[in-house]
Amino acid sequence: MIEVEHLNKAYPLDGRQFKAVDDVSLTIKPGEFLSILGHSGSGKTTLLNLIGGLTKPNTGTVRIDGQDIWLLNDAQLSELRNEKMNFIFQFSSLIPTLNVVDNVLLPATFGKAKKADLYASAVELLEMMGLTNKLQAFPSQLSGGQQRRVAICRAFINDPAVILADEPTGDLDEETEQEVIAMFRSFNEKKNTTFLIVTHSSDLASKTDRRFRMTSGRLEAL
Amino acid sequence: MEWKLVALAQKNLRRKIFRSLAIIAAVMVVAATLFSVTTIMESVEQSLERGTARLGADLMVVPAKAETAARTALLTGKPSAFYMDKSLVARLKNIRGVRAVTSQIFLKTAPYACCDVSDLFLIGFDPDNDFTIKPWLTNALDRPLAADEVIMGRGITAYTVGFTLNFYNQPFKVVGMLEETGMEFIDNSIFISYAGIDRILAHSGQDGATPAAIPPDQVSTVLVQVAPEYTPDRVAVFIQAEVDGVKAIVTDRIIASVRKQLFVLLKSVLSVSAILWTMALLLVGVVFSMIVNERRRELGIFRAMGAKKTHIFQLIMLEAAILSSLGGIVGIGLGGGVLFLFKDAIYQSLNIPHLWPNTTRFVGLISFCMLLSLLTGIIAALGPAIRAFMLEPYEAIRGGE
Repeated sequence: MIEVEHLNKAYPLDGRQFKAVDDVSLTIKPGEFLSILGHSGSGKTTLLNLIGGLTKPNTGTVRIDGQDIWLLNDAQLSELRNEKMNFIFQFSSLIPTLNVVDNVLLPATFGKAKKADLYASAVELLEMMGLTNKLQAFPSQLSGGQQRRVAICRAFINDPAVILADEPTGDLDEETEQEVIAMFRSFNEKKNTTFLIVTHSSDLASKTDRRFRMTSGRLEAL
Repeated sequence: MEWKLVALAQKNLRRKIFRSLAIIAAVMVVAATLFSVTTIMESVEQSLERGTARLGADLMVVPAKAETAARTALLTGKPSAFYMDKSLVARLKNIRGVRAVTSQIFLKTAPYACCDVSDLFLIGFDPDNDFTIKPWLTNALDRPLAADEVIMGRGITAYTVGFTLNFYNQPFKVVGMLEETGMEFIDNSIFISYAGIDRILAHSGQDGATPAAIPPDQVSTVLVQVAPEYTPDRVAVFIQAEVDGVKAIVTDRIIASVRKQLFVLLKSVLSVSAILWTMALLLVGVVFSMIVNERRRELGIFRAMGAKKTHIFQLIMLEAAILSSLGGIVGIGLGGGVLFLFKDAIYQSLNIPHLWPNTTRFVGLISFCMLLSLLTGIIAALGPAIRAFMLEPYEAIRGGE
């Protein structure tokens, strides 16, 4: 369960405070499949990162399974990110020095899990994404769409309870987009994985169970 | 330290191979310079310490006019002959603070026409009261040295125990060798009893052989051991006050003067080393600042994937430690190699005694240079690593955009 209460986040911009997230409250139950729709600069990415514990709010709380994540120390919060959640970023987020398999196994580098134990899962996920012949390739040898699919595989490798996805199908063609959404759905249904997807695409948002719109930092249910 | 992080650090370093090589090269230059300079200093120090210990005397009394020649002979082994009256031995024995005395007489060997080994010190000593030669024999000699026997310094490598050598047409059997000191005065000299010197004097010049000219009843030096309750400096003052025309050289002072001379010689090299080290620190610091800036997003992604702040700090420090250690290893290898290949030319040009450090001291020098190399990377990368440690994940991710 994710509980967000009166969340505020402002950045200094041109000499004044820009409110990226303005008094947002939201409750997400385990296994929910929901989306936040909004234009560029509406604050949806900031909200996603606040929920993921990647940036600290000015005010307000984020609770995951009843635990206020900003009361945890850095090690505890890092462990929470490593074990309970994972991210899909809107930009190319692969590490250029690591090959495809090692990129997928990246969360294991920082966690308790052993890479060897997760190797078979990594290969299976990459097969699902049609990347079997790219296991040893480096990001620079992949197309934008292939890189995005590797990043999606990485998001599932630690079997997270929550996936926070920022424009997850941005670089993908329509057919691959459908496959990715189907994969999300499959994980959601089989493993009860919670999905919070932020997107500017109404089409993608329409495929989720619950939708919100973010405008100038404020969140409203659709 | 987690091995998973070590593997990640290695992969990161391979990404910008030329940059990594530049850091390795910078640390390598520092390590090579430092290692070769400290090894030279150490070898001179060790040689002087061992040499003066072998001399076995606190004071070396020589004719006042021959002080410079005596010092030069002691430090470089350059043979020279100087003499003073033998009666001084008895006088010196009675001076306050003197515990024991023994005399030596120097004879320079002439060219090959007379002698098997030319142009070195033939040092006559008195076996009855000697405390400077026999204690340092590598093989035990439990009888007095006969008139036709000699003891050799370790530097004369063409001969060994059992050989017979001719000096001034007189045969002498080698019955012992001294341990190596690095001081040519000891290592490249041949030690002979006073009876042996008398034998040379009695027969030299006969049958057309080169004559050995030593004035009668003379000695070259008197070596003095000081009583425990006196300092060598104090006894040297007593000697010079009571005996005219002599100079009492405090052997410990020789170490100090050579050290000073060596320091002047190596001061410029040490200054260059310090400049190089500072430059290496700056270079590594700047490069790691660039690395942290370039990889902000990547570091943010690591944090999103569950990396703790300490992981980020360790990763940057590991990369610095790996590069600086490699630089240290290559530098020590290079410095040591150059020194080993050109050691004779280096020491000859410096004209100083030297003794290649023993294994323990070598390990110490290598450890010191490795530690300094490692510290170069660690100190230089500390600032950037702390900056990376402090980065908020989202700030890092956005900063890389």
